[in-house]
Amino acid sequence: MGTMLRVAFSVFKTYWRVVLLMVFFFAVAVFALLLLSGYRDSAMQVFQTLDEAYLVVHEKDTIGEFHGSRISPDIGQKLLAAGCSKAVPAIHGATGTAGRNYQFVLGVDLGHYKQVQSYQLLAGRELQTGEDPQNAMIGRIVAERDGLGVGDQVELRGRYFDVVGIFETRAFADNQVWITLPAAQTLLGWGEDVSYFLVPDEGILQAGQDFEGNTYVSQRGESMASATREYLNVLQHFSNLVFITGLGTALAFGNLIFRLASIQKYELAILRTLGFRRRLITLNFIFQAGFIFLCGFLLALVAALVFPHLYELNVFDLVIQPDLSLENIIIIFITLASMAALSIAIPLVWFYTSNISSLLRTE
Amino acid sequence: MKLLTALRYLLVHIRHDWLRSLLTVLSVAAIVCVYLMSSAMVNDMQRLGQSLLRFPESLLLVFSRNAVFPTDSHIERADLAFYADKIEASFGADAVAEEVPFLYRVVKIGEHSVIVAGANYTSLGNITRLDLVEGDWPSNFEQVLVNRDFAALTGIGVGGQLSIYGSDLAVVGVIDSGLWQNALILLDYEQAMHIYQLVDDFQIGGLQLAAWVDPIEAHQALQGVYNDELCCHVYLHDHYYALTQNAFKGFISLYGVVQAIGLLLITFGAYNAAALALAEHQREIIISRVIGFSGRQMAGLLLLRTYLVMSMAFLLGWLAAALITHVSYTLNPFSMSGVMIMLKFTAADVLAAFAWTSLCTVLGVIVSSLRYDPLKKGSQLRSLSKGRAV
Repeated sequence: MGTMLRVAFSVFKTYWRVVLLMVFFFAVAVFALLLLSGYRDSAMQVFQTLDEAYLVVHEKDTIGEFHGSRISPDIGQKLLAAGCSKAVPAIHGATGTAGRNYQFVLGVDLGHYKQVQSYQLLAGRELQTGEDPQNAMIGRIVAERDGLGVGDQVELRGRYFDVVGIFETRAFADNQVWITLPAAQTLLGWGEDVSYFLVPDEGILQAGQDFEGNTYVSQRGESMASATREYLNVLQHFSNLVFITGLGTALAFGNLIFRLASIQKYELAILRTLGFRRRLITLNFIFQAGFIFLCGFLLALVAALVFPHLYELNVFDLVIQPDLSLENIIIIFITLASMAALSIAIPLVWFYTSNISSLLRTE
Repeated sequence: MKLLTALRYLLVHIRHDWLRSLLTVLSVAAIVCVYLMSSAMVNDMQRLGQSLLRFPESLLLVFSRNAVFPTDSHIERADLAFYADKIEASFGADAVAEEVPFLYRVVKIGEHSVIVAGANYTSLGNITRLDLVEGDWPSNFEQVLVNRDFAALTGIGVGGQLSIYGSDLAVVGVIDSGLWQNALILLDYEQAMHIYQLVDDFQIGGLQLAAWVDPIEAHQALQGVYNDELCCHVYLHDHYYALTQNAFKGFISLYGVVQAIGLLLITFGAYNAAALALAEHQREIIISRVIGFSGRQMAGLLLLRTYLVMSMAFLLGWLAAALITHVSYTLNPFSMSGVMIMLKFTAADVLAAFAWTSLCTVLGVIVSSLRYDPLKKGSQLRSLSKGRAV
């Protein structure tokens, strides 16, 4: 085995330029694959997550959970009168200055928001009952994008709010600034109006039905999913690109391993005639392929992890970061490793089915 | 004749080496395919950013202050009148030819997001082209117009039925207008107020300036002039265009990154094809050199061989991209913001990709064969005499 590994190393030494090229070629292809699938999964998570525990009552023909909905506070009373155990008001809006610097804002009902919003506090503290209306919690992406921390101030429509906490939801809300409901109403000049009411899905209301006046009932997350459904087609296009890139990566890898085998067929044929077993020859292939695979994958992984710090996918100041979770990385690694195993099998089959004297004689 | 002989030799050579050549062709073809598919999406995104609303230059736009999306804007005729008065105070009476309120909403019709615009037909005709191309003008609040893009996108034309904000409406006419390049339902302003149960509440205010007023000067004169705390900002005609351009910039740049990666991979693929062919066929190259082929002729043969392989890869990638985008468009046509996504790459995209592939092929051959002459290496000649070049 030691001899075989030495042979493998000597091939790398002789053809180091070719091997380096193979590593880079494979790394760039894997980088593209990691990045594309990361963005696709992230966008799916941000826009297409439904919460079956809650319904949203918002203005008809609007993306209530995003922007555009404005309804009377009386709707909350009517929901309670209809038998809902609670009706939690919220304001979802977007602010900006000069129409460019968008910032998504959520005005929260301090008495209930902790029960209906799922989040993890990364720094500072939560907004509490009786909170100063000048205080705010900001999402992780807002904090990273604007370089804000606890104690800093965030500007909304020319007014400054003190950041008391930073949260993470791993969803759209990470792009939001959370302020108290009265502060949001004042900021937007809405009086007592709100964007929507959240009610538990207790069977009293059904998603898809009209409620009082100009309001409509949706599953929580549905209006956002519906509004962004047409973007799913772009994601499908993205998925096609991911698939073809993956296929191209596997083919490129198979090609590289096959070409490497082809370059050293003479040496390997001699080793076979000297009595080296197939198992050892196979080990040689696996070692070489494994080296290129691991170097390429590691290089690609580092580049993919660094890339979001250099580039920001920003749509209306909604930042989408690629979802490069350990789970996703392992799935891609296993998928590519399976393809790589197939790629090793091709040159192995070719080598073992070739006539040894022919391998020694011809090029 | 020499070229034909060389071509015949190389085709035989590629056929003899078919498995390795096939793998090279397939891997590069996949990358070319990804590049062209990305180009198709970039084209659509650019078209989308350019097409939503195109107001004439003589129109100043009034939105609520800080309204990020047009649908979030709420202004009244009094706000428009306030700014009209300001302009006339600075530029003289009759400087504002017309005040045009627009209701602007977005609704879902099936899977498509389309714009609902409410504007007075006559005013609209005064500021832009508005042609009835099919059917009749509406005669009551239960009738509505759609534009050609809407009819093409949704398949709902004259005789079709729509439901907007709980009101059932019959499509009686199809219009063509220079203002909207995307799917649109056009309501009369009063009809829109009736359907949405509003009184004098609209999203975009248009101030049509007289021909002798410079819109840029008028716009500058209104900077920092606010009617009240919430209203308003006055913008030039292309503000909305810039807004939508900005919105799709992220997608365009992401697909641009994918394109750049594709080009980088094509570069690697071309160099790979040349360098590996050189490494794999040293014995043949040495023999050819010994029997009298010059180094330049060998480099020429390598270039021709690599070019043939890369061209085959390019053609296959092009065909695959054309097939996939055509099948996607046929089986699952979709729109964004009322604009049909065509998924078409242009001849310029194909030419650019081919030019890049050709350039990379030439450079790949030059770099890999640079200072490579087996006759200058005694060790290689000795190896050849033993039957093996290393």
